[in-house]
Amino acid sequence: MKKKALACILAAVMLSGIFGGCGSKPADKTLKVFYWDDLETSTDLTTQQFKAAVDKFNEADNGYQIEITTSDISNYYIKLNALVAADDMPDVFMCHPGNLMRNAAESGVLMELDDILKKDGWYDTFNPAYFDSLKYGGKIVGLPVEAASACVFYNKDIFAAAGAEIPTTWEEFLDVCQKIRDAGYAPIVTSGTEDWVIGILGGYLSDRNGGSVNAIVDGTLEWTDPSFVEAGNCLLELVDNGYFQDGYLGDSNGQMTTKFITGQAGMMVTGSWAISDINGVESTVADIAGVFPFPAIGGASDANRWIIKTDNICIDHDTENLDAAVEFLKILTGEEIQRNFAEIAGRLPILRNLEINYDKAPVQLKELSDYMADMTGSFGYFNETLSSETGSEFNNAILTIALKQATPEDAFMRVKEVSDEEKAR
Amino acid sequence: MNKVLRNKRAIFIFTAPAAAMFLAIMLIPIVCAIALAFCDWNSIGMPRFIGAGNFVEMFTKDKTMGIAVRNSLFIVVFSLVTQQTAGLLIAAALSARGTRLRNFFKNIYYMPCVISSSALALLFSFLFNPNMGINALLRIFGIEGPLWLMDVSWKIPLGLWAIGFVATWQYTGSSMMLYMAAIAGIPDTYYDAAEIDGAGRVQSFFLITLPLVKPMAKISITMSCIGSLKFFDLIYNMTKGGPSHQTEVMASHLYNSAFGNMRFGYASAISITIMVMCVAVSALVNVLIKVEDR
Repeated sequence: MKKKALACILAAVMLSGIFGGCGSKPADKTLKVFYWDDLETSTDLTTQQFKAAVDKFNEADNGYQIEITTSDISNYYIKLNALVAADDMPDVFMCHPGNLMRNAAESGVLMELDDILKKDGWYDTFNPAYFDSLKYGGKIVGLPVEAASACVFYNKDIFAAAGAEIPTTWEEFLDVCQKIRDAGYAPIVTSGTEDWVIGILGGYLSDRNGGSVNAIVDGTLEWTDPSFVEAGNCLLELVDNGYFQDGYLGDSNGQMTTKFITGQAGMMVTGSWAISDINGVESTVADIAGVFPFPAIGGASDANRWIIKTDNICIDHDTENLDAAVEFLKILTGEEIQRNFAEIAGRLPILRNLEINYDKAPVQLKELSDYMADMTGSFGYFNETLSSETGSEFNNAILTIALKQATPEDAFMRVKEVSDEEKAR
Repeated sequence: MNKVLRNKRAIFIFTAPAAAMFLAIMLIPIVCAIALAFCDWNSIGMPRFIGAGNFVEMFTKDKTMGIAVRNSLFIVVFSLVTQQTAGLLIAAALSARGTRLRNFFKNIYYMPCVISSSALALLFSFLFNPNMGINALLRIFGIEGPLWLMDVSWKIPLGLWAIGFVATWQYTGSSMMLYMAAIAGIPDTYYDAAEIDGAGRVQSFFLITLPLVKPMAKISITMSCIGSLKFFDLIYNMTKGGPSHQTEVMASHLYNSAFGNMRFGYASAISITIMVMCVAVSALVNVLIKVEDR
């Protein structure tokens, strides 16, 4: 009898929990957003501006709350592809340009944004050049959020201690590396565990030697062209002379960045998103870090060609919350958040005629903007511009050359094989 | 109980939930995977039938698959030799009469099995990092350690040996438990009789323990081989199959094909290949290790 009574009481307690939600205020609808960094714990200044946009949307009286899902950047596309396969797309998600956006567009999951952008003159607020890499089948499928270019960050104090000046040619660059090494610092920091990092260096070395990624995509250049072999040889010059930091093969992108922002290295070749880290809480080089363009290699080479890309946001093609998605995107690409992207996080703005107070912005952004005013051409990151397997194999090739596990000839021959196989499919 | 067993309706009712789960979670996905293996599919739209195209590509064009099969077979052999030997020896030692703190040591050896593979991979990634862990210790003695996870100069890359070691550390306890269960079933009288006849502990091990744990060895070896062919967690979390795909195994190549390159048909073909290899290995073990029916 007692056991029966106890069982009844426990069952009643369980059931009351089920009905506990009844009678409360109806919940706001949800806008699902997928982002590539943890909004709550990340100290990255760019992520913090994204979070500010999310908070602003949530505070507005629009009947919606953002439900954010995050993934670290190295697993972001694997997770996104899994969501695509499971037909469980978020309403709004980030996407890099190039093959990653192409894959998503070919999968049919991206909403065409032309009509939405043309309403109320929203399109006219943007720098239209950024939409070139965001089109599929002639239609705009992504919205730029902020831009970044790849450049050489340098530590002005280490340069002064080593008696080095900003190099404009490859020979000067090697000379600077030697001087920094003689002064007891690591000339260049890079990462061996994340091949896309050294792939950025490989991209510039290729381009400066005449290996244009756009020509590869157009089919007017082959991977067996001597320009790529020369790029590999330039990389080997850096490796053989010990110009990378000790143990670079075991360093991640985060460790590489930490070594630079704690004043252990003279230079770092990476995207301008690193301005966030350089001006972050852990940095000791905020006031002494500068930027310069990757130097020319050989007489015909042009040091005013820049790797540029945008971080973009896309809308799921069959979202049921289109109005809310557009409202969030307008907040994210509005002047207030865009100004913060520039002045706080040091990101290149994507809006036309955005007034930026460069006195408030990181010093590196002003230097970068000044250099880019002389830009003669741009191209994307190799791994994003090329098709996915070929782009991945390019980064692989650069790392393999640095590891001395293949000659430049063999490494780029392998890239050609992968590219040919991918085209044949 | 007899009444229940005679009642076919009762049997159906009690087995239906398990059968439904098996169907939904195992059988239907396997059938779908077999069907997809003969198609080209990027997860959107309908799969396109291409016959044996995926298998032809896998065995004639895909160099990464060749590396993955080689590495998977290496993991099978390495695990077999290390885990089974270590597991059996530890089980024999702990099962010996008079062993003190048997349960304590049993738990210690089994504990790595219950640790998450991802956590283990992270831990050992730090230990094998050229700037930290083991190399930092070696540097104290003036020794420059190797690139544990990145050196691919050997035919079987050093990274794979390192990961094999981690797998051995993680799964030896599992083999140990199986062998301990088998040894516990051997009557003590056999060992007493052997002792009276003058047999030492080593002789008893080879002449009594080994033959009588054969049935369990067959099970343990089969499970070890199948687990090694499906091996993924440590590879993905420690090296992601790199550098240059040299530490890929079949499961990591499957994963990259599906979720990296959106080639679900090709990935399904790889999964069928793994399944066929598992069945083949099980059959081979069955043929090679004959167990007498008592």
